[in-house]
Amino acid sequence: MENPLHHFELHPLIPIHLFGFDLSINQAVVMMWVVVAAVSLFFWTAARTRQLVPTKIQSLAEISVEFLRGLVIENMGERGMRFFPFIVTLFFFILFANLLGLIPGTYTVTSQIMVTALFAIMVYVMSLIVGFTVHGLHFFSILVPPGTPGWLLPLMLPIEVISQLARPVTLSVRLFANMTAGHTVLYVLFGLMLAGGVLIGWLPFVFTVVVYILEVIVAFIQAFIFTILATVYLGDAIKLH
Amino acid sequence: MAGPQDPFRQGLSFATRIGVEMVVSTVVGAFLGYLLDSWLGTRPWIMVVGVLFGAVAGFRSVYRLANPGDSPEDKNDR
Amino acid sequence: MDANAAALFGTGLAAAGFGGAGVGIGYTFGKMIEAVARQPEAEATVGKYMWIGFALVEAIALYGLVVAFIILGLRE
Repeated sequence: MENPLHHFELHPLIPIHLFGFDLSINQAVVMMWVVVAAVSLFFWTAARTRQLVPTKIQSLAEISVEFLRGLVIENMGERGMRFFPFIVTLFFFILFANLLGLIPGTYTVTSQIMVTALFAIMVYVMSLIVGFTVHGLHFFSILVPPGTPGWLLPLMLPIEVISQLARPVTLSVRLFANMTAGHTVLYVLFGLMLAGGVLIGWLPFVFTVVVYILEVIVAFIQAFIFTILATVYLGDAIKLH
Repeated sequence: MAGPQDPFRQGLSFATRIGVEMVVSTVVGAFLGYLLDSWLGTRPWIMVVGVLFGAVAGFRSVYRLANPGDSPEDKNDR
Repeated sequence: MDANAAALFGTGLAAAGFGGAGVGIGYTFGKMIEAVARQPEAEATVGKYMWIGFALVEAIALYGLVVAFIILGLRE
């Protein structure tokens, strides 16, 4: 069997090299366009017939947006509502990228650490900017947890610095690792099924189905967690203890 | 799709959060120590201290998640 | 045995730590079910600590994975 990580490799479809940058169009780029188109189509269908008695797609969109609104209010307060469009965009992009990547033959954009790291760094830098504009230099007190005795300060400071720096890393690694691991397991199980033949191949196939269902759940959960943590980090910067 | 108060979904999100958070804290601590070491030329001592601090930071995040109310970060996981 | 083969062996041994994680996960969930069967009203409390235990076990498995990747990265 070939290398199970082989199908994560990117191959340029249309090579573009501009000003020393590699801007080639590869599967991931095409897949991102597909994801954007799918999200747009979803909301366009949902909002096309704005009725008092909602259609199925409309009520699905309304429920999820309402759920995200609750999340933002809970973690960021009323002042956080100006980030609401960003949070909704983040959630739906990641969710659709995860789900569309599960269709055989497509590419999972979120299994590239560059994509997830860009999202995480974006969220983190945004929280830093928000914190410094709202609180000024007083924002540095986020490094000192409330109720820390003075003699513990030299110990707590490096710990808090590390846990702050770990935030964007955890955010990106979690999504990337979950997606990559799930798809690798699916690939290996499917390869076992093909290698096993009719006599014993049905056993890995059953596992493939089970893992596939698990992967759909994981796609939802990881999108949720990324969004929840984005609201928590931004809310930390807004509220500051 | 389960609601926000579903304990199973909460538990699962909790579990996926903590595992990565602990390991990444340790790795980040070790990496910072490694950078400081190669800057100050004191291999490997700051890296060892960095691993310890990173592990403590990871445990602290677990502790904060397990005891809501200690910090504003865990209001969502109650 | 050359250094490369030794590194590959080490990677496999580091990944063998997942066996311990499997034992831990089984123990965690089994004890949780036992406790809830005895005292169904304690499910919320027990469940919370069960998930913490599960997460710690998962962290141990991830430490094994990180060590495996470090060994793979050090291989020349």
